[in-house]
Amino acid sequence: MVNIAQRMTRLKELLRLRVGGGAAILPPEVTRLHMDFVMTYDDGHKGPRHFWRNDLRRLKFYNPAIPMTVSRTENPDDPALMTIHFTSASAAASTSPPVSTTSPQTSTAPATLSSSPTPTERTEVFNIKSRKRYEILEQLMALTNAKKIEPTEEELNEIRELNAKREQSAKDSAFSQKVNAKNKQEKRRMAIARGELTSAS
Amino acid sequence: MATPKPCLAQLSRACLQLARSTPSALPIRLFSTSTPNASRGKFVPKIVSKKEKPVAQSTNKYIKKTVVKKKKARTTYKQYDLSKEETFPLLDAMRIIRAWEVGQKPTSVKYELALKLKSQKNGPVVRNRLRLPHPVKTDFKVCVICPPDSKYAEAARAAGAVLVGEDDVFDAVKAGKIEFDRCLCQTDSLVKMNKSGVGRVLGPRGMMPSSKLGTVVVDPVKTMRDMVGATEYRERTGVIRMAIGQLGFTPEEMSSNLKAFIEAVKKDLSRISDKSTKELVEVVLSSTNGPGLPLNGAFKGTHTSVTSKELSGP
Repeated sequence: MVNIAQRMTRLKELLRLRVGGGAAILPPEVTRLHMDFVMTYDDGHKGPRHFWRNDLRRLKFYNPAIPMTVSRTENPDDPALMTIHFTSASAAASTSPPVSTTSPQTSTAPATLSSSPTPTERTEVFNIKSRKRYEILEQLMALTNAKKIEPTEEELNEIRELNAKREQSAKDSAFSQKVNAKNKQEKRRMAIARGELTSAS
Repeated sequence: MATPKPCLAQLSRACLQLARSTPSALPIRLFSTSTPNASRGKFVPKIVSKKEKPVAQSTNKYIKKTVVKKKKARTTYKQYDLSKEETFPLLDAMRIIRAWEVGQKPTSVKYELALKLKSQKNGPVVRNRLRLPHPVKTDFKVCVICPPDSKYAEAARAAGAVLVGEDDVFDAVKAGKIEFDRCLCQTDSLVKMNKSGVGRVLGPRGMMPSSKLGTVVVDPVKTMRDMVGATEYRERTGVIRMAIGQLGFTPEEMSSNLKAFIEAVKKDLSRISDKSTKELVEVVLSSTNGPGLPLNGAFKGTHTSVTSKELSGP
């Protein structure tokens, strides 16, 4: 397995999962989030994809009980939509989070379309095509009244440390690249001088 | 008899040294070469003792000139200091992985487990088959090689084997049509199979039946039944990796799977001969696209804010 120091540095970057856009707690009325967009990267589907890769992960981290699904289609003309399922406040208080029954059924069943196990009273659908990641997030936060989680001082410190480390490692790698190139040149020159290598090769 | 040449060389060196009139030009033989070396001037090659002299290289230009002496290869897999490792209780690890895999199909994404062992590079490896309490994959396509008109063939077809027969199977395999994940062989067809040369195709895929692996059997149907839901695991470069669950599994299901797997591996480790001892060093939970999170063996940590019910959703 990979060196432990390397692995732990990578794991530290998991902080990205705790701090940043999408670090928010959704109210109990929200029962499900669903995204529809196209697999291909271009034509306005970049924003949704970025949202999925970054902000949706954080949302899921802070709201582990809320199902969040993504369905990506092949046809580039398909719309890109975000669906939010709501239930009434009274129902939200009484129902517990959805629990999958015994595993084989849930995990082998195909991914269902946008539907929620708890009774949905209303859904909000908005367009996410040709929109930036943060625009999607803003609208989602506004629609759901989600409570944003501010990073703690500790987490901010850790992020600063990580950034400093990253800068330093970039510097180090540039430096060692230079040294290696120089050594290689030197070796080549020596080889030419010894006649092992022609200058053209 | 000594040739006159070295004598002459010595003579001329002595003369030269005298002519330069350096203080070290004494008529006595010096045992250390450092003083004479210094006296020879900066750019003259050093006098080297026989011991230090490089071995005469072969004049053949096609033979590599310098043979660098190899470092002795290590016999064990490298171990790291785990004291600084951050470990997670199962619930936290599952929460992070589920967040990471959000929006992925729960059917295609699997939890994976890597067990790092302290072991030697040579010697026996851990290799076994295990039936998890909650199987990860239940739909294996099995191919049975047996005489097509025997009772085994009929039974195998009835039990759900995809491909049954002898020559049909060999032809299909040689044509590159491999539409099965496991291959069994009945003992009566073993000779025929070995002659047919399917090993060249099946071997690299690890599907070639052999009695060592328990895939050459008298009753293929019985083995088929055992195989459904059972997964094979083996040690590669000191690590055992296996899919341990589907993303939709609840923490309780995962925990029972983990326990069963680790216990089975520990049993295998104890069964290995006394010559080479192996120990379990590290347990890392990961997933198809997710990060690897070392587990600390606990189900719930002191800082865990998530309940297992919250992680049980689809």
